Formats: sequence, C-alpha cells, structure tokens
Amino acid sequence: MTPYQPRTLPDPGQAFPIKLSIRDFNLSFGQTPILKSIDLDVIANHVTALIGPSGCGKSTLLRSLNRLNDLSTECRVSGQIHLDNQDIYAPSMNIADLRRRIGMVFQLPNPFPKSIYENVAYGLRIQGIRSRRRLDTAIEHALTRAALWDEVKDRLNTNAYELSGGQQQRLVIARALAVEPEVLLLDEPASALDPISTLKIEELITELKHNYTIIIVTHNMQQAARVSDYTAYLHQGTLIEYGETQQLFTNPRKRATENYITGRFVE
Amino acid sequence: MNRWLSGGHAWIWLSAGALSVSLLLVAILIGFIAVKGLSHFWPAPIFDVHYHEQDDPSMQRLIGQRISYQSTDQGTQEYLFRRSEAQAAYQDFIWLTDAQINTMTQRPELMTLEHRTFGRLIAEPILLRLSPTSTITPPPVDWPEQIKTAQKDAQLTLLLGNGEALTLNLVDILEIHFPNQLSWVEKMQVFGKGLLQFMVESPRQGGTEGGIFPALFGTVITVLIMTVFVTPIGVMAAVYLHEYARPGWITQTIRIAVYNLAGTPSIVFGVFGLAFFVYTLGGSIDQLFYSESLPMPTFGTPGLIWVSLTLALLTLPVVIVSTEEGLARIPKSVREGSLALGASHTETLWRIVLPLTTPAILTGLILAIARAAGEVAPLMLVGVVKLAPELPLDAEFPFLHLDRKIMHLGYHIFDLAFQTGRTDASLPFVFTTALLLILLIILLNLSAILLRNRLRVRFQDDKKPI
Amino acid sequence: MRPNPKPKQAKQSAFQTWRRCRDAVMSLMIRSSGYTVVISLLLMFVYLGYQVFPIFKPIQVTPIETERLSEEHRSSFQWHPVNLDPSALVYRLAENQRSLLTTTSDGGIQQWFWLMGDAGTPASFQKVHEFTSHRAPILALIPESQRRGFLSLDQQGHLAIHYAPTGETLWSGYLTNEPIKAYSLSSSNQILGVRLASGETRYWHLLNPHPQISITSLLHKVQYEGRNQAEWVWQSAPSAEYHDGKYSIVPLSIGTLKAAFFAMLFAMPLAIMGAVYTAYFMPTRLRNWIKPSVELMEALPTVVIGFIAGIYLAPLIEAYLVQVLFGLITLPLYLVLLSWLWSIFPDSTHYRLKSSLWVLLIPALVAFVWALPYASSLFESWVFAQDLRQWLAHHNIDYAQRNGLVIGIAMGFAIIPTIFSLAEDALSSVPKHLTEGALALGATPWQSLQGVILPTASAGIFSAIIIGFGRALGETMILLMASGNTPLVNMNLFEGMRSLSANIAMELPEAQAGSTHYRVLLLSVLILFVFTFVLNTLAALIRQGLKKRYQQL
Ligand SMILES: Nc1ncnc2c1ncn2[C@@H]1O[C@H](COP(=O)(O)OP(=O)(O)O)[C@@H](O)[C@H]1O
Ligand SMILES: [Mg+2]
Repeated sequence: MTPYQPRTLPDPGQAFPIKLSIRDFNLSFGQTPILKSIDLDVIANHVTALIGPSGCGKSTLLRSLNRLNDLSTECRVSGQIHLDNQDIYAPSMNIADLRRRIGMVFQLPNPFPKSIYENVAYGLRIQGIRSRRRLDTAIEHALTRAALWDEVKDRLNTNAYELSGGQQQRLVIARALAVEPEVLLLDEPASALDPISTLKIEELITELKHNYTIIIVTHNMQQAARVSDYTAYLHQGTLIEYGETQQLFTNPRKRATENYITGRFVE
Repeated sequence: MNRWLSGGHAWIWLSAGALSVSLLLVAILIGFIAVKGLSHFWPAPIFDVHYHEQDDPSMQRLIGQRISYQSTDQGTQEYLFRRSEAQAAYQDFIWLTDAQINTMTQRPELMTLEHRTFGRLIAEPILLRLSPTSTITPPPVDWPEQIKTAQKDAQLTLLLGNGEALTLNLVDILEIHFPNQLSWVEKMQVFGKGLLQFMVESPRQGGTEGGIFPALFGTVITVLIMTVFVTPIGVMAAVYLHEYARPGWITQTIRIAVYNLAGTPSIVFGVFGLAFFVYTLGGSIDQLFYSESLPMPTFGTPGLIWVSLTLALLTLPVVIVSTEEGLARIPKSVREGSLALGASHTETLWRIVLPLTTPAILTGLILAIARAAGEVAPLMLVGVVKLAPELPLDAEFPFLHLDRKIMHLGYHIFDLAFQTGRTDASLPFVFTTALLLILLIILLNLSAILLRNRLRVRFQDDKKPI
Repeated sequence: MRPNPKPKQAKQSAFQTWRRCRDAVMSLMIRSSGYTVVISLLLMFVYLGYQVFPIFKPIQVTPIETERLSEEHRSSFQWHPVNLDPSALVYRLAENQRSLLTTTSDGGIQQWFWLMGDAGTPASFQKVHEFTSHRAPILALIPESQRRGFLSLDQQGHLAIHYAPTGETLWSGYLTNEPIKAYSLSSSNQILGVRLASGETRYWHLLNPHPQISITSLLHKVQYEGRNQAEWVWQSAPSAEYHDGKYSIVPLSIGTLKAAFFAMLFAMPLAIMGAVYTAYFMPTRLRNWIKPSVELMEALPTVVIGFIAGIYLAPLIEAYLVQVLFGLITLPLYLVLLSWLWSIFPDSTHYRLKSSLWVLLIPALVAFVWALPYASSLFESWVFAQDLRQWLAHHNIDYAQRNGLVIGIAMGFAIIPTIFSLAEDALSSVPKHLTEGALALGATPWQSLQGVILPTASAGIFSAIIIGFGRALGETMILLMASGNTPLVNMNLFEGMRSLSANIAMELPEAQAGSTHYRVLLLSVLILFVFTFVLNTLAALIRQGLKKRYQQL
C-alpha cells in the first residue's frame, strides 16, 4: 500500500484558507509506531471526516491536534502540525491556550459532575470571566448553538448527569463552544447515542461548520458521507487516501479504500 | 477416605475454623469489655450484709452494692460488694462467699449518694432533720419523697456499714439514688446519666471517681490539630504520586517510603518526635522566642503540638494511600474533558479532580484519626501525661495552648490499669474508658467504610452505558 | 455574531501571567509534598544516627597549652606522685570493695573480683580481666571519678584508658618521653595533668564521654563485677553500688524476637487460613461483610488488648495452663476429625455448605471449649502424671505469669488482621480465569487452590507475613503491659521478656537528653527502625513485582 502522496489541496481552487496543516507527522507510544508520516491539510469552515478500521489511529491523530497525547509519558512525536501557520509542537506554544482554541468532544459524553450551568461556565471561568451577566449570555448562546437551550433552560442548576445521553453529548458540545474555539474535534460523537440523538448531532455539525473548522472521526460510513465535505481514510497509521467526500465514496482512487467503504475490508 | 484427602476437606475445615476462631476472639473481647464497662453505671442492688472474715469468726456488717457474683468450684456462690467509708481507710471492694455471709437483706431505704467531699457513699439513712427543731424518720419507702421535698438547709444522718454515723448537709449532696426502689426504666435513666457524667466530668481520686472528660478532650484536640498538618501534605503527596510523577526510580523511592512510613513501629515515631521535635525543634523555638523564661522550657518539653506533629507523621501514609485510591477511581475522561477546554493541569486538579476526590480524602482522614486515636506508645514520649492540670483550650489568650501537656484516652487506660494502686476501684473505669475508645474507633472506621462504599457505588453508576 | 466582545488585551495577558504563576506555585507545592515523604523518612534516619553516633566516636586525647587553663582551675588539681615500684601497685577500684587491680613488672594489669561461690564452695578472688596495653612497668593507675574507668601510665610515657566492667582498653598512646613525677586527673575526668622530672607541667584533654559503650559491651557477654560468669545484661537503672549502666542490647533484641516469634506462631496459621477461606470459599456478599470487620479488628487499640492480656488473660492462663496448651494443640486435630466425620455425608452437601462452614463451626467451637477441661485433665494425668505446674517446677522450667504464651496469644491476636487482609488481597486478586481454567480441567476447588492460586499468590502472602512480623517487632503497648518486662535471654514460652520497644517506652522519658543511656536507647530505636525498614522495603518490592505479574497474567 502506498501512502497518499500529493501535498496539494484536494480542491486547490477554493476560497477557504488552510486551518491545520499536518506535515510528515509520526507518533509512537513507546516502541510502537501508531501514526506514520501523515500529511494532511484541513480546510477552514468545512467538515473533515477521518475514517478507518478501529485501532488504525484516528483518535490518536485527533488527539495529536490538541496535544492530548502528551498526557501519556510514552508518547513520542516528530514532524509538524501548524495551526494558522503556528507550530503547535513548538516549545513556546502555550498548551492550555492551544486547547482552548481547539475544542474537543469525546466518544462518550463526559460532563463534569456539576450543574448544567457550571458545566458550560467551566471553560469561561478558567479564562477568568467572573461577571455573572457575561457568563449568562455566553452560556445561553453556547447552549442555543448546541441546540440544547430549549430543553434545559428551566433546569440549568440540575446535575448534568441527569440529562439523557444525547443531551449530555450536546451539553459537552456546548461546553466546548462556550470558550469560542476555532477548530472542533469530534471523536465518534454519536457512536453511543440512539438514532434520534445521532440525527440531532449531525444536524448540529452541519449547522456549526459555518463558524468552525470541524474534524470528525467516525466509523459510520453513512455518517461520514452525510456530514463531511472531505474525508481521509487511515489504515494502520498510514493515510491512504484523502479527498472530497463525494469523490472518495463514489470513486476511490485506492483499492484499499474501496474495499473498506464497500465493507469488503478484512482486518 | 481417599476422596476426603484429595478434596482437601481437612484444609477447608481448618481454614473455616481459623476464620471462626478469629471472629469469635474479637466478639469475646469486645463483648467482655462492653459488659464490664457498662455494668459499672448500672445501679446494682444494695444489701445489708452480716458476715465474718475467713479466719475470724466475729460478726461484721457492711452496706454495699452487689456488683457481681459467680459460682465457685465447690458449687457455692461468691459475691463482689462495693462498699464505701467516709474516710476510705480500707478497701472498697470485697469478695464474700456463701459460707461467710450470715444474713443478706435488700431493704428499700438503702441508698447511694454522691457527696461533694466524701465522694460516693453507700449507706442507710436514719434521720432527716428538716429544721433545727423537727426531725423525722419516714417509713423506708417514703425516703426518696421526703428528701426531695426537704429544704436545702436540711440535714441527713446516715449509718455506714461499719457502724459509723454521718450527718451531712443536703446542699453538699450532689446526687441520691435508691437502687432498691428503682423501676427498670428509672434504672436505665440512672445508667444513662452516669454514663453521661462519666463523659463530661474530670477524674477525681486518682481516676477512681468522676469521669474522663479531659482525656476525651485531649484525644479529640490532638487528632484535630493532627488533621491540620496531615491533610494538605498527605493529599498533595498523593496528587504528586498519581498525577505528576512519571514512573521511574524517584516515584519508586517515594512509594517505598510511603510503605515504610506505614510499617515503621509507632514507637520509632515517638522517639523521633521526642528527640527531634521536642528537644531540637522545641529547644530552638525556646531560644528564639521564649528566651526570657529559660531554663524553664516552653516548647522544649513534651506538649500538645508535638503530639499532633508526631501523629501527623505517623498517619501520613494512611491519607496518601486513601487519596491515591480516590484519584485512581476518577475516570480519565473527566480529566481530559477539562484539559480539552484549555484548563491547565493544576486547574483541572483544583476544580475537577480534587472535589471529586473529597470522599476518598475524607475516608483517609477518618482512618487516620481512628489510627491516631488508638495510638499510645509514641504519645507517652511526646506530651501525654496521666493528669494534666489544665485543658489546652480555654478563655485565656491565645486560647489554644499548643505547649500544654494533655491527657489521652489510651494513656488513661494504661495508667489506670498499671500505675494506680487501687486496681479494684479503677478497673471499672478502665473498662469504660476502653469501651469508649473502642466505640469511638469503631464509629470512625464504620463511617470511613460506608463513605468508601458510597464512593464505589457512585463511580460504578458513572460507568453504566448511556 | 459573537455576543461577548473580547476582553481588553492587556487585562487578558495579565490574567494569563497570573494563571501561569499560580500553576507554577501549586506544582512546586505538590512536588515538594511528594518529596516530603522521602525527606521525613531520611530525616528520621539521619537524625537518629546523628544522635547515636557520639557513643561510637573514638576517644580523643589532645595536649592543652598551660596558658589555656585558668590559674584557679590549675590550682584545683590534686597531684599524686607516681609509684616507682610496680609490684607494690595494688589498687582498689572505685568505692566498692569487690574489685582489685594489680600490676606486673612487664606492664600487665589484672582485675580481680571477689566472687561468691555456688552453694558449698567458699568465696574467692578470681582474675577476671587482663589489660595488656603496656610494655613497660606501670607508674600509676588513675581511677576516674563517678564511673568505673581508669587510666594507666607507664615508665616509657605511655598512657592507656581502660574501662573496668568490660575489661577493655579503649585508648592507648604515647604522651612524653621524659620521666614523669606526678599526675592529676580533674574531677570531670576530662583533663589529665602530668608533672615531668624537669619540673614542667603538661596537660591533656581527654574526650571520652561514653566509656561504657563499645561493640563488646553492646553485643558480647560481659562478666560484670560480682557476677560469676559473663552474661548479656541490660540494667540501666543505676543502683547505689553500680554507678554505670549495663547496656547489652542482646536481651532486648532476643526479647523482641521471642515475642514476635510466638505471636507469629499463633497468628500466621489463623490469619492465612482464614484469608484462604474468605478469598476462596466464601460468597462475595459475605466477603464484603467480613473484610470490613477485619479492618475494624485491625483498628482495635493495642492498649486495650494489652490491658486485657495483662490483667485478665495472664492470670487466666496461669490458672488454666493445661487447658490452654491442650486446646491450642488439639483444636486443629478436632477440626480435621470433624471434617472427616462430615465426609461420610454425601458429596452434594459438602460444597453447598462449604461457604457457610464458618458459621456452623461456631457452635462446634463452643462445644470444644466446653469439653476442654475434662479432656485436658485426662491428658494431664496421663502424660505428666501430676499437675503441669509441678511438672514444670520439677524440670526447672520457670513460670512467670506474664510470659511468652500470653504475649503470643495477645500480640498474635493484634497482628491477625494485618496478615489476614494483606493475604486476602493477594489471594483474591489472582486473576479469575486461572482458577476457572483449572476447574474446567476437572480439578476440585481444593486442587485448583493448591495448584494454581497458592503458588501465584505465595509472594503476596509472604509479603503479608513480613509486614505482620514487622508489626510484631514494633508493637509496644501489649508488650509493655503483658510481657513482664524482664530482660532475659531465653526462648522459654513460660517466661517473660523485655522488648526493645517496651524498653524504650519505659526508660526514655526518664533518660536525660544527651546521656549515655539516652543515646543507647536511641541506638535501640535505630536498630528497630533499620530492621523494620528492611522488612518493609522487601515487602514493598515483592508487592510491586506481584502487581506487574498479575497484570501480565
Ligand atoms: N495512551 C496510549 N498508550 C499506548 N498505546 C495507545 C495509547 N492510545 C492509543 N494507543 C494505541 O494506538 C492505537 C490506535 O488507537 P486509536 O487511535 O484509539 O484507534 P482508533 O482508530 O480506533 O481511534 C491502538 O492500537 C491503541 O492500542
Ligand atoms: Mg477511537
């Protein structure tokens, strides 16, 4: 299998800038290489989907973008990732600020065991915002954007654990939106949800891409096809193919990609 | 037979037996202490006994409370009486056998009373002087009523078992009971009151009368001050081990040090406390701040603060281990959620992780307090004494006197049981003190166990699929 | 679109700086707390070592210039002429009459004791110690005041410092080559003055604060004055006659080990077998109930156990010695017998009842205790043909009320929960699939326990035993209250002992800080500390290794 070669954009003529650019990025945990020479450009205000068999390194790639992998002592990286021309692995990088700029939503909803209000306010409080009025407006705004406001506006002080799974996931999205990130990373955000909640989340993603750059990991091919503009296919830590979703699903350039999306993939 | 051998039945029975024996031993121990300790406050019946000594046929008389009785090897009964003398000239307790006792009558007017100077008296009332001119001797069952209605300036004349008569002012009498007339409920009330008094009064007459309040207070205040020291350091050390330290030889060393702090004999801490805290640290403090009162030491001598510091060192591993367990139980996802929002490591810790760990920290603290409350050996070296003249907390500036010597429940037990001469008289108090200490510790441990179980349940719920 | 406008840039960056500072301070505090644990342990070692060290410091003899001593001081010296006829030098050591020193012409010094003979033999003088540090005839024997050391000077100008009770020469060296006329030792034993033939006077400073302590006096048998043979003696309370303490740590160490040994003998079988039963045969629901009760048992204050043991158990055991001993031995046999009887019943009941066996056993145990007096008196008359106590007395076995048996039971009781809960942890954390594999192959539960669980958990059980042993070594209150505190050197089950820990608790409050007694006590603490440190570290390493192994399984 030859990795994806060209360092050009899938759609060179488009009007949007490159938000994140990944160049020759390698990552290993201890002696085990997980990501191998990844080259990928993420275009602003679009949805990019990462697909691939489980264990191929999708989450790891996503977590490299906000440096969450740094938590593991075994993690070693090489190569560059630039966010708006700023090297995020540069020693001068303020990681907390980076993570504020790149929000993340995890596979399982992970609200804090606090009230709904405090969950959304958390990131703002960290940023030193104390004024009740500013918090109130920001929270309403974030919850509205996450399509949750109407459901919870009367019980902002109840514990977040009392929400349903789908609501919790939207709460987590609202929490991420509240700190006004530029990029939103979604790691299989709907895999633990029922179909209705999944639908809501998908609608939300389509809605949000006007203001944010979104990268979503999913192993649900239909979902990728529905929500994303670009799709990257990863296999065993190697980026096999990256292109417009439409084109990748209808006319994959690589045999491996075709096998995977048609379900003929054997692990 | 073969099957019996290969099935290991003998071993299974032996191991089950080992468990039963262990549990049985604990049950016997605690039950024994409870019965012995509580029976002291039970208003036992009073008897008027005519008896003779083993080797002397002449008749004697006593008025005393029958504390307990048992059968001897010969099948006769043996009774233990508590009697009292105004000027305790001879022993308070006496064992008598059936053969020694001529008559033993339980009359309703026999009473116990608590006198301001004589302490507890067991006697027969004979005369009540209501005013300088009128005296009465009511019928036996009317005594309680008559005394209750008498004026405060009335006088009561008593006859003690040894024939001594005693006239007392009613104002000097703190309490009167007629155990032979009490109903079961009233006995319970007297019992409860006695128990309460035991907890709130100071010891009198070398610990054989009164209560143990200063010891209880000393125990509580030392462990409270100990928590002030041990909590921040223990919690932060656990945080370091679990959140900061990368696996390597440093972490390994710290872990081994924690194990060692936990396993080092407490007497070693006591000696270190005496040599380092008291003599070196306290001595330096004296030279710097209290030089005007030297050579009389202020902090350079055993005292409250050194007891608490020594206990803090001793219980540090308990807090560390428990906190670390709590930290380990917090799901990774919650931390990552916070970090992903741009919170720094310490902010996550402070705002998310530590609040969630609070029950575990509390568990650790409670266990530490339980351990500290039961320690005695190190404390005798660094500031616990048999009788402290003042409480460490009073209305005088600076209110909390960290340099004072204190009393302690555990040491009180040791002291009463082994250093006091009148063993018969002090033993009931030892038992009650022991019971109180055990109950305190069991209560603390139970609450820690419950807290820990609640904690477990809570996180199990979290892990349920949504 | 954005509802909250960006805060002013300057304010924002100030806040970020404050954030970073706060983080740095917190990290620093957390890190230093982590190190505090190691540092405090290290501090304990170093500080105790530092306090103990002076007793092993070599003696220093340094010349002092005459001008450094004040006129007043110098005039207070009492001068003694030297004796030029060595054979006439017989010296009565210190105030007591029992010990004499003699010298020989070749510089030898002998110490003689007046020894009481055993019954029948008359008392006699015997040569006990010999000091051979001099090559020339002795000029003077100079006793130290307040203690039982002495100095000797010879014709060649050599000085030696000796300590009579242990028969050791602590220092010897050369002072001067001029003939010596007279000498003087200050009452503090610290300044030696020597008057030479030339009329010149010279002074030396002798730094020898702890002559009593040496490896010999701490560890070896020493024949102290008035004693018929060399012994290990701990006798710190100075009586009027014997000014110097006798500090052999052997009796205390033996006492500590003896107590711990008997306690382990009692606790180990109970704790480990109880743990095996709990971890392996008990239903989970019950186990969740048993474990906390054992934890409660661990929290029982030892002062309470010690009190019961000293005041009630000791007289009880004295009164019912045969019953107790007989019961301890026959209880396991009784259980084995019961299990055999039980196996006559059909198989199905066994495994059904296995998990509630411990409840069934409680009435069986009560029956056992009830039958004990009858059985044991039969046993007593059959084996000893007399009362056991008489038998012991007849065989010259001493019996003390507070003895090894009492300690074994009481302290054993106190360490059962420690061993139990650690062993239970080790057993129940053996991965489940291992047992299930064995059971699937047709092994009985006992066989799978024996073949799979016990070997896997053995290291953990071993570390539980080590920790229990460490706890027994350091336990203080039980020993203080129930061991009799007699510093004996024997392993007799029926005699008392004094442990290091109890000795410290008794004597340290009275010892004057900085004195020899104080430092020797601190030395005994250090010994205890080092010993338990080794045990704990070993157990910790074993447990860490075990954790790794379980993860791999
Ligand atoms: N913290 C870690 N330490 C070691 N290995 C890890 C870690 N996180 C992930 N891995 C390994 O990296 C590989 C890729 O994982 P991941 O990125 O989660 O895959 P997926 O594509 O299913 O999201 C897996 O084999 C996983 O075992
Ligand atoms: Mg994944």
